[in-house]
Amino acid sequence: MSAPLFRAVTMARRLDTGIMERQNTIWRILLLAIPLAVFSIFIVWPLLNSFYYSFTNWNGFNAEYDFVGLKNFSKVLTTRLFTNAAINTLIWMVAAIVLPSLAGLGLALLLDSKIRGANVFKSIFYLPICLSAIVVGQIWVWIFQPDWGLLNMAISAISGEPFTYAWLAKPGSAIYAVIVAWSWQQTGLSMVIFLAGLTGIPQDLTEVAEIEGATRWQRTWHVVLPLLRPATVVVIALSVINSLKGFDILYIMTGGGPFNSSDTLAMYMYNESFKKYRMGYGSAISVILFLITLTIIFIYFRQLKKVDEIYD
Amino acid sequence: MSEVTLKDIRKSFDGLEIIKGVNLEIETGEFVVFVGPSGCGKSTLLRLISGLEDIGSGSITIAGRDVTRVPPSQRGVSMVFQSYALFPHMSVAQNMSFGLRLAKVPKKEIERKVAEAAEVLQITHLLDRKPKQLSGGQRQRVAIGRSIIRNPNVFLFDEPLSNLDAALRVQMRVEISRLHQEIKTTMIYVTHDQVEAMTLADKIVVLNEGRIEQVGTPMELYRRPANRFVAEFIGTPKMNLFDTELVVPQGGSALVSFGSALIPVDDRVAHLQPGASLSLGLRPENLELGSAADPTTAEARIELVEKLGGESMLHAHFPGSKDLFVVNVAGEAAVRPGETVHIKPDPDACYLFDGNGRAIGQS
Ligand SMILES: Nc1ncnc2c1ncn2[C@@H]1O[C@H](COP(=O)(O)OP(=O)(O)O)[C@@H](O)[C@H]1O
Ligand SMILES: [Mg+2]
Repeated sequence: MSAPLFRAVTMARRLDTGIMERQNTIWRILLLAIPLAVFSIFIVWPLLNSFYYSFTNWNGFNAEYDFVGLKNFSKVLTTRLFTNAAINTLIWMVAAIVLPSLAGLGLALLLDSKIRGANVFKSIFYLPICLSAIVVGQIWVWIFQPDWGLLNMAISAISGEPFTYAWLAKPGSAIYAVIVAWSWQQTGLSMVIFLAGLTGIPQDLTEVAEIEGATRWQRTWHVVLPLLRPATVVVIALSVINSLKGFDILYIMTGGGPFNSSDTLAMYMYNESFKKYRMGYGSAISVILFLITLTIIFIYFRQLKKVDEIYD
Repeated sequence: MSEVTLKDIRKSFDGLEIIKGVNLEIETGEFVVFVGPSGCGKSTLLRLISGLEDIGSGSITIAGRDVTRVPPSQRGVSMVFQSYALFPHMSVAQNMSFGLRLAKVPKKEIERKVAEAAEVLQITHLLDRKPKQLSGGQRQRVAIGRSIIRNPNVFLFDEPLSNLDAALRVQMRVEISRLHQEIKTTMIYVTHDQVEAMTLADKIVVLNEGRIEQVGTPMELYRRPANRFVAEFIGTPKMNLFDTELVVPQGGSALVSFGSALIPVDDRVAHLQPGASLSLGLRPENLELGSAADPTTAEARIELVEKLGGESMLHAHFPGSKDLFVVNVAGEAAVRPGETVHIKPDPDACYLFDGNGRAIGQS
């Protein structure tokens, strides 16, 4: 290539990359701006609104309202219903983290050993995740139905006597029944994550352990479980987040009842705001829930960093 | 006494036979190397000995005990993997003592044994580190440490040096050799690298497609390969093989053709008919450049010259043939690609193989 031609070509190229560079920047800003706008409109704005209304006695639709200072908060924090909802939230969260995680881990360990038809079982156990919480809730409402529900019919068949316990209508069992339904759905998700974690464990490690004299159980305990730490972190993070979001299934199955026995903070907030038209009061509950969530997530991510430091 | 005895071992995966009847005796204290091309079944054979793989048929004896159906942990073997297989969440000391801790050996004794093994392997200063903080060579030392600490009857190594860079590989090879001289325990070592096999082994087992091709000391295999496969596999650069046939002139002694030349061969071919097709094997170091006037030289054309400093590799072919062979000459060869030269073989260093690839007699 002749010298002037060469120079022209490289110059054109440089111009080109300059334009591309600028176009790229525009694209980047655009692509970030859209989600940022959506996030602001649907998350940040309502959040700020909640903070604002939590200091008022707004009923949710009237134009006028008064500022009441911290009155909503003092009322919320002293009612028995709030304590009840807080305890239920705790039960709900702990159960929603522990049960699906343990069940998912168990299934993953079972299905990872080369048993026949493992793939079919994996698909079956994962299936509930593909259903919406509303559908899952409705399925379990039917299962728990006192007269013709699957559960009671099974118990009747086994015991030989008619059994008509109303699982969802008794304060003693309602929240636990919902937890069962929730766990049934979430187990598949934990299982899949643990299975992925298991495929990441080199076979050499379990084989060395075997030669070194570790029994199957010892190999699981001393080698497999410690190496599943990263997967466990992910499972627990998702469980926490999902359990805090777990409102729809409660809404479908019990609506917080009977007698507030399955009320969680989210459910309580919903009922106060939208059923009793106490938007200010409900906002105060949501602010408290927000702060609790923030604290949990903050603590959790600090732990996460520690785990990261051990495993690359 | 033999430490390990393999009797007619067979193993199939998914109906495909991978180990096709292996018989082998390994003496106590011997350093045995299984060598062969990738996929020939070396690892499988080692895993059968360790018990990680269930045997198809045949039997395995270790230290006089039939262990064919005995689980790996009770066979008195330990294994070092190519990947090192260290537990990432345990320190070096914990990795090394894993088996002893499972066996509930008293803490004092574990500490003493870890310290001892660490001393031998010069990793005492690393005992508190995690595998992540170690180099490849250090990791492999820890893996070896984990093996010696259990004081097994037999050490098994599966390509332990393949993940290391070339310089470190040579160094670790020397150290493994020294370790063997020091502890004198039976070792079975798998590698696809014949140089490793030659330098480490008391006894080499050449495997090919699930069968043993030959067993012998490194020099036996080098000097008297039982067949074409072993002849080509052992020795670097590879032995050159030429398709040729037996020529017996009226009243003269037997000859084979080497390009345009004829090389006399001794009476090891006495039982063959003139015209029988043979393979002639000549190692690159047994070929040299000669003069055109010498009737025992063959004309050849140089394709490529590799100068390695102390020696040169000439890649050449006979006129009318495309098959390249290698000539190893000392120093910097004064020939260039495209040049015609005359190659002189050493008639006393010829290997002959029959139509089935079996060696004929031995030189
Ligand atoms: N677990 C297994 N399942 C199926 N095929 C296997 C298994 N292990 C090894 N093989 C096959 O056996 C052959 C020999 O493998 P291997 O013993 O690892 O060879 P090498 O160690 O000599 O490279 C390969 O063809 C490999 O694909
Ligand atoms: Mg291998």
